[in-house]
Amino acid sequence: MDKAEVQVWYQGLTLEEEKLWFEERVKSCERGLLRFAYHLSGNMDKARDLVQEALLRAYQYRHSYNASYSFESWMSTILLNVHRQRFKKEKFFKIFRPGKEREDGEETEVWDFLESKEEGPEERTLKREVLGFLREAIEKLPPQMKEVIVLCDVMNYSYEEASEIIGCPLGTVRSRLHRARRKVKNLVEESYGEDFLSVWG
Amino acid sequence: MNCEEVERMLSAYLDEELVAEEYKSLKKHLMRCSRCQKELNKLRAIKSLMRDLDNGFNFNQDFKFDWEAVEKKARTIKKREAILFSLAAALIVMVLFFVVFQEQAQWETEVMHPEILVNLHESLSGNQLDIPFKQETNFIGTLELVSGGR
Repeated sequence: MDKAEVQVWYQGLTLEEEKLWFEERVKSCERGLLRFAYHLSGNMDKARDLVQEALLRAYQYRHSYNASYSFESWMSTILLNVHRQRFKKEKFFKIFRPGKEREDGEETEVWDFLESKEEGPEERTLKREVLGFLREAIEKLPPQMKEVIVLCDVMNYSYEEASEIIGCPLGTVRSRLHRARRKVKNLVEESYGEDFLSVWG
Repeated sequence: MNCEEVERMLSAYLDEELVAEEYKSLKKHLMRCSRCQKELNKLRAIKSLMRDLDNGFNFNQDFKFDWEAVEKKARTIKKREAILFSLAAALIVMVLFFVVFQEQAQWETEVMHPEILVNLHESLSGNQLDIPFKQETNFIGTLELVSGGR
């Protein structure tokens, strides 16, 4: 990036003012960050912890933020990096405790999903089941595909925003997303039959 | 465009992320290929369900950016760094002390041992002069002789 493009936001600010500035930016995007963290980790406790750690790191390196970019994207990149590091660590420690997939006291249900009044109880139950299945399908994806599908499909970010957050070219986002969708589609078809999605769509 | 090429671009078509030319030729293909059209509908269903995953969760969680926790954690990190630094410094001092002590012990065993000194004294005096060996008085003289008077 060209040095001239860097917009320094902290010039002339006192430490207290910097703190205030940071807090205001965080307030505007903390819900988005929490959602992102939840979809990445699949657990609300882990998500809170992830966001808190990302905020701590962002605050420590706040002077590296370039104000010509979106603050939320910058924060999301930091959050994604924290998640990647934790994921690697967890994967490493899983070697020492095989078979223990979920941690004790792990909370998984934060369901309160917006149900359409037109849907009958059977439809609602099926939808709930399919969404639960999709959650598990996302967890089974390789990390790189999971990141893209969470950003583009679940969180509805554009390819450009996703490429900025992940730090890869647009073409890579495009191909990863397609492979991820195809993989999820195959998993759904294996469990619910080939025509399930055609009927659902 | 054949079905295989189209299949690879379906996701981008769905997201309207194709350039105008690609979009046009893909649309043309879809109008006459029911198999690709069906595939597109399936991907559309997946995409829509994925959005429901986000809409379906209650994010009205009582999450607040906790300054106190952040500052506390920052202090803990600083404290941890200080402890680690002190431990590393203590370790280095201990290692250095151990190395010096070993050198000293080795020197004392090899040079200062009475038997070695007697042997040294005897070999230096040629065993013929019958100069009595006194550890206390001859020790320094012997060392001076060995080190060449330095």
